[in-house]
Amino acid sequence: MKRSKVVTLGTVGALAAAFAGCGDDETAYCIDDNEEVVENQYCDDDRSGSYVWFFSGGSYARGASVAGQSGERIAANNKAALASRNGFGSTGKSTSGSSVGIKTGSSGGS
Amino acid sequence: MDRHDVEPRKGWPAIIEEQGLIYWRTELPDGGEISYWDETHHYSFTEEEVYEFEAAARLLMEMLVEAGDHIIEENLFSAMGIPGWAVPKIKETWELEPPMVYGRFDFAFTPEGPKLLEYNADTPTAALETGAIQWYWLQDVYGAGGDQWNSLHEELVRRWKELNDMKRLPGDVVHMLHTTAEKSGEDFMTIGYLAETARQAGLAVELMPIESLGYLRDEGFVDLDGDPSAPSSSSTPGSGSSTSATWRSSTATWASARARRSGSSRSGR
Repeated sequence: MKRSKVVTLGTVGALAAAFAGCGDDETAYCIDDNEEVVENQYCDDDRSGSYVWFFSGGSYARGASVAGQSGERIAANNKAALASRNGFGSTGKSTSGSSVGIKTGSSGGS
Repeated sequence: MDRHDVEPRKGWPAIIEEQGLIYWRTELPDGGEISYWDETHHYSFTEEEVYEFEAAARLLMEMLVEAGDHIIEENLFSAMGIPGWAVPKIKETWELEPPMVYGRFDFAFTPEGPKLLEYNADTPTAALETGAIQWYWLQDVYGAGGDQWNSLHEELVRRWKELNDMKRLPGDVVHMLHTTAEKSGEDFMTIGYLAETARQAGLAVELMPIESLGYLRDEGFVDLDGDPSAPSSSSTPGSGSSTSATWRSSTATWASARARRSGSSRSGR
């Protein structure tokens, strides 16, 4: 057995409280079985489990890459680059508005 | 590996937020919301599978170090797309071996065995989730008898103690840097959690934004007070600090987190 015996969080709760109120900056992409980014509606309508949300702001994606529509790898943590291309890498294949990729931050500034 | 449906804890958002996971919300443009944290199911592994993951992580770490030696010995930098100006610093760092704290392997669990998806040695998030949030979830849902191949929290505390005892941490204060550019709180809380583990190891810790880090020609990096800071010893995603895998025991949990995040369609194939 290798489980932690006791985990005490000490100052963590206070830090969390101190940070509260700031905005959310996560981006979610809908991707298919081939890890290609597809329009959000596929995830919204999916009943088969073939499409999943990919959280670029989250743990395994940070510093990682996800396949773009052309198969090109784009850095998922490169928020500046992604933002300037409306959620896409250099393929610039994004259609208008929010049909591909979800950028958040609407919950108020930082 | 089995996937289990499980009842989410009542009031889980408040629970995880109090424990530091304040960055679970992902909003949709239509006003809806997806949660990054999902406790509607979890994965269980046999002992054999757990050992397989641990062995794989160990072997991979050895192979990565071997690969590093090979790249330097054979001068393969340009082939790797590494610019020449970076090479002396890389070689120097490789020789000096600044303290490693932690890294994270992401595996897919396949019929052929563990498959490496990526190795986050420089920007490992999910430390708080793995070390603490999951543990509290386990207590709440399965009680004291719930088992987990994960002692990350103790391992981090132990490692900070070890580095301190070995005098590998320069100065009296360990500076931990986060960025204010990351707005969800994930970066801040990941570093905040690491700071807490260092604090529990008895170290003096200063948490500060990397945007506030100063540089003096003669003194190097300084904090807000102008005191010497040593970013090479702090664990800061994106800062270029050297971190690596002392985290092998938690690979099974990582795989679980990965599978949960990416959905069943991308794992187990």
